[in-house]
Amino acid sequence: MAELFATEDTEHTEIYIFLFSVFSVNSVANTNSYIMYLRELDMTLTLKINGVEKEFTDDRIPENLSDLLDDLDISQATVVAEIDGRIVDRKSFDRTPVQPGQAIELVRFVGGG
Amino acid sequence: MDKLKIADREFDSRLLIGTGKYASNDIMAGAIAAAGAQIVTVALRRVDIDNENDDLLAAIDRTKYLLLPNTSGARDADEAIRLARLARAASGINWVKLEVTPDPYYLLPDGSETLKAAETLVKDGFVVLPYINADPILARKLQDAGTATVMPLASPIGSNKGLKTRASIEIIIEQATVPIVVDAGLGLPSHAAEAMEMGADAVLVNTAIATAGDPVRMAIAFKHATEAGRLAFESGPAGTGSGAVASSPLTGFLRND
Repeated sequence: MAELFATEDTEHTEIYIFLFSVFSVNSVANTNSYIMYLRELDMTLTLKINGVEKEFTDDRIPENLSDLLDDLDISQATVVAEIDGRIVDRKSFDRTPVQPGQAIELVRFVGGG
Repeated sequence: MDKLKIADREFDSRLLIGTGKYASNDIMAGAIAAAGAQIVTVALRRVDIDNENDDLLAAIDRTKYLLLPNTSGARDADEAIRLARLARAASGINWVKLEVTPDPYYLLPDGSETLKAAETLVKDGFVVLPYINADPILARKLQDAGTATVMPLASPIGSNKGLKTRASIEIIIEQATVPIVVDAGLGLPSHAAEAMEMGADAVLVNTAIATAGDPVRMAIAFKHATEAGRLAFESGPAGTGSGAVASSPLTGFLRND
């Protein structure tokens, strides 16, 4: 499990494992704590957005989809999102956590026939 | 002019407009208004996360126009279904112009994948308007599967060649139980009028208007042509014959013989 954190800090590995187990339950509250912890550890979050890997560090680590769109300067009103193949309702963007390694598709309407 | 009825909605206009290839959103909005269109097609694409994105929807008044998302870019049924569901989430409506075009050169639709996707989407509650080659058998299978229209192509998308599939579209119209919308390849107002005179219920035009020198005026021309063709069809065109039949009286000539 330690490799999840990709850290050289072997001295504290057990603490990381403990913290990960505490925060690994897939709920919004715990994910937020987990993201905050990532921030404290000065770590990065990698997401695959529209097929391209993008790294977020420090304060730029988004807590949820809403944060992510703000960070990318994309208007939430016009975009539709899919995380790992599941469509996310626009109303739940701010309640949808983003997690390391997710594949996120952001699409919108363009001109077409 | 009769109203056009698709699924549970009625429309005064029988000219559907595509929103691709316009030089600007303003010109597009002007053309849509000038065409008197009530249904406009749009496509779904990835957001460019590194550059600013134009907001197409800001230019389309959704209280006036029904947005008809297409599944362009889909190469098989699964991709089309995925796009349709994303489009539904984006637009909030369940209408979809179904297109599956695996061939990138002629962009001709794949009939079997289109039928497969249509069956799934109809079951999923979509109002499905499938774009097909002018194949009367496929058209019948689609309407039997519960699609809201059938949209046969006049000629390849963007080719502006006009009604090259006329004979097959005539058969499709003859056996139709749903509205027939002639889509793709109509390059001139006369092509649209021809399709409407044949009894097509509507036409869909994009390239011919968007890439015209003056798209707004061309939109007006297509509006008149579509209405003229429909009025002609509703009026019951006079018959044709091989011999001449004089329009003027054949008596009272200024001669004695």
